[in-house]
Amino acid sequence: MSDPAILIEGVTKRFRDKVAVDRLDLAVPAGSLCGFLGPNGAGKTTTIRMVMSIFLPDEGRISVLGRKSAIESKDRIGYLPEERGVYRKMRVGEFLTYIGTLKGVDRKPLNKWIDQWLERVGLPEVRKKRCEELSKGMQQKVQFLATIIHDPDLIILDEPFSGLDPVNARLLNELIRELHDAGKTIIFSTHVLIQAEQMCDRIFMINGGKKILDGTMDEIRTAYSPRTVVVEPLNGADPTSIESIGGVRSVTHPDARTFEAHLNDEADPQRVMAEILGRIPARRVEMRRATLEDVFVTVVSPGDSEDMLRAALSAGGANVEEAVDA
Amino acid sequence: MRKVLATAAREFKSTALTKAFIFGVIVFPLVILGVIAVVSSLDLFASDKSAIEGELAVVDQTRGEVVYRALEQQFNPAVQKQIAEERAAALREQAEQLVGAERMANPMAQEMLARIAGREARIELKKLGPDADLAEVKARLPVRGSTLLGLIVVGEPTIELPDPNASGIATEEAGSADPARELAADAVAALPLNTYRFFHAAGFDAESRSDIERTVGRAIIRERMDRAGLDAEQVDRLNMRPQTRLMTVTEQGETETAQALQFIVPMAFMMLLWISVMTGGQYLLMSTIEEKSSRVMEVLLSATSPLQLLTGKILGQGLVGLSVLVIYVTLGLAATMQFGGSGIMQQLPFDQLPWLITYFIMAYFLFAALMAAVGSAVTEIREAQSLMGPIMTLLMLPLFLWFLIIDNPNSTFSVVLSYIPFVTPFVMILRVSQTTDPVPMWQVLSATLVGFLGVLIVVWGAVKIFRVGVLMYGKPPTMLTLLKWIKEA
Repeated sequence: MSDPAILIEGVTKRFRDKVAVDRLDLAVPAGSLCGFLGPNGAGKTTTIRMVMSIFLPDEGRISVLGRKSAIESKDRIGYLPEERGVYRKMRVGEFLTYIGTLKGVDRKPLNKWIDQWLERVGLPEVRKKRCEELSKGMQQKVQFLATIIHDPDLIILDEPFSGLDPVNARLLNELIRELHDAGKTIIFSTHVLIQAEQMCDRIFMINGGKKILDGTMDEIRTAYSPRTVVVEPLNGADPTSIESIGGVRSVTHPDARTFEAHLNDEADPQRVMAEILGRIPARRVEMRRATLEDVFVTVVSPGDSEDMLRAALSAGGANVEEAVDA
Repeated sequence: MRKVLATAAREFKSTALTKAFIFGVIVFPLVILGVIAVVSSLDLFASDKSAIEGELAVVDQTRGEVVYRALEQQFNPAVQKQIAEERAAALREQAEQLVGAERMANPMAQEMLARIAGREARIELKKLGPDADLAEVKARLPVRGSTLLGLIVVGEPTIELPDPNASGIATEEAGSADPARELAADAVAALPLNTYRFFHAAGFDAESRSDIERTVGRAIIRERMDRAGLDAEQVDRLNMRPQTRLMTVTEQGETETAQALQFIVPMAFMMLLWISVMTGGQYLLMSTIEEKSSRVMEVLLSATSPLQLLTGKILGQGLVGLSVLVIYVTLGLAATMQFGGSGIMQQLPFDQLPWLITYFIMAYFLFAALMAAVGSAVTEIREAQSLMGPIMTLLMLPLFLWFLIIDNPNSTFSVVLSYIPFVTPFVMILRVSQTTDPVPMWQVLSATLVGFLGVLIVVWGAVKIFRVGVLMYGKPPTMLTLLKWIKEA
């Protein structure tokens, strides 16, 4: 378990003159549940595709489950692509059987497995239905089953939650936790930061093809602590005196009841909080926790979002689609 | 390998075991055969009904009325009956030679023969004198339900030959002065030399017409011979053409040339090849596009490599093409056995079947690779059209050239075409399956080798395009972009 499940070393991938992934280093510890974050067009899908050996990196090395490439350990990896589909005319059971066969599962256990799991995801009666008769959310659940049909050790999910309603999102959340508890290594990319925050024990964030964040949730929270004390004074007590406490840079008043004291980098939050309590009666005085959203907004400037990228590229007239899909 | 086979199996199952396919490949040709059978039996029925019956007016101003007498003899009911019987007998003999006597004993066959042969013309002749008014006779021709079928105007000018030294063609002289009346005598006088006139209603039975023409022509020629003092019987005998016995001499010895099948077999072989390659290739294109546009492609690529996927797809659809080939060869053989009999079966070149399979494999892999490349590069079938243009042109080429190649299988043209990879399989199957002019073995082997080298190169390029293309969405690429992908991949 000591070897990382995925090891990416100095990997670069270019599409024409656009660099999609830029000298990326990344290690995914075995058995971890990792969130893979980044704005649209940051290079997440390209990185995942390189891990899956669908694209080959221009430079650098990738090893997956201790092998030189995913091709050698494909049957131990479950991959749910962002661009996912089903054969429209194929029946659900046939589709799952086909994918299972492709992944080297024997027919007999496959049959039982499919029945059990369709039941488990709340689709007990779709086996004989054609895939095109399923709703998008149902299709997505079938695709998730196709991803884990061969009991893989490493599961890579590209945007698994997009398009799911809250009930199904919760179901998927549960399934992912179960798989995690069973010792699988799981990586999923998402835009829904809350989800990543609640589920993951590790986060990677990339932007513009470069890694900008890598660590456990606690490490990240500590590193990106916003150094803000939230104060809710009791019965309209006057908080103006807070500003004069040593180490407080400024005070804002985000809503009618609360004040926020922003601290200098060198200030000690404990001391400031004690002093606040000494000066005014307060219902609540607490350190604000860093949310991933704060971190995301801090490290990603608005210009990095995909829409801006698209606009810039189409002005240049280059292969917009390719670059963005990359 | 297991993944390749699983892909191939899915590909075959999802294509060949669908109602649309079974209908298209098996039911459709059967329906066409059925329609042909119905139409041809309708034709028999129709011609049976139109056995000709009516009057033929004759103005014969020759000395001795030779034409009238000849027609009278020809259309005598007894003679007509005899002719019909003779014709039926000859037909039966021919049929028995071709199909075998035991088959012709079949009552259905007898009935069919009788239908084809048993057409007796019942024509009543009506002689018109020199004073007859032809305008009035001709006016009766277009009348619906009229018993009058036609009018023949023949006279001394018909027998006379134009001066061989005179230049130009004899022109008709001006007609009668009174347009309302047309005297038979005037009409005869107006005939150019070596000419007679035959007025008939529209839709006059073509067979009877040529019968009449033959009789008139022979009567005129006989009269000329009589007048020249020649023995008509003897001249006829002297005019008998010698029979040709065509023998094909090859390294294996000499055999009677199979004339009937000389064109049909190579053509049939090439069409079989073409249809089966086309079917497999077309389905491959469609299934690749489907996988791309439904975005199932990346799901598949998570389980197999692009090369495994491509190989599986090509094999699966190849099996589809091969099934089409086998089905059609079987149907063709069954039909030949049923209708052609043992005579034709013996002439079929069964020893060429391995070549058919060889060239099927060559042609199929070439076009399948191209189709897969195109399919992987586009997202919708609509976008494939512009890329398909050049490929279809290549594929159509043999259809335009087959005649030239069969006509002269060892001409420089044919030999050169044999070495152009995309047409090699089609040209070679044409050349190999004809027997008139066997192709030297070294050419067969070298062309086949060149063909398979071409296959390797095309497949290599297609794999590269496929690798890049399968996950590329957006605006459809041009031919040039595809070439760039080959270079980049």
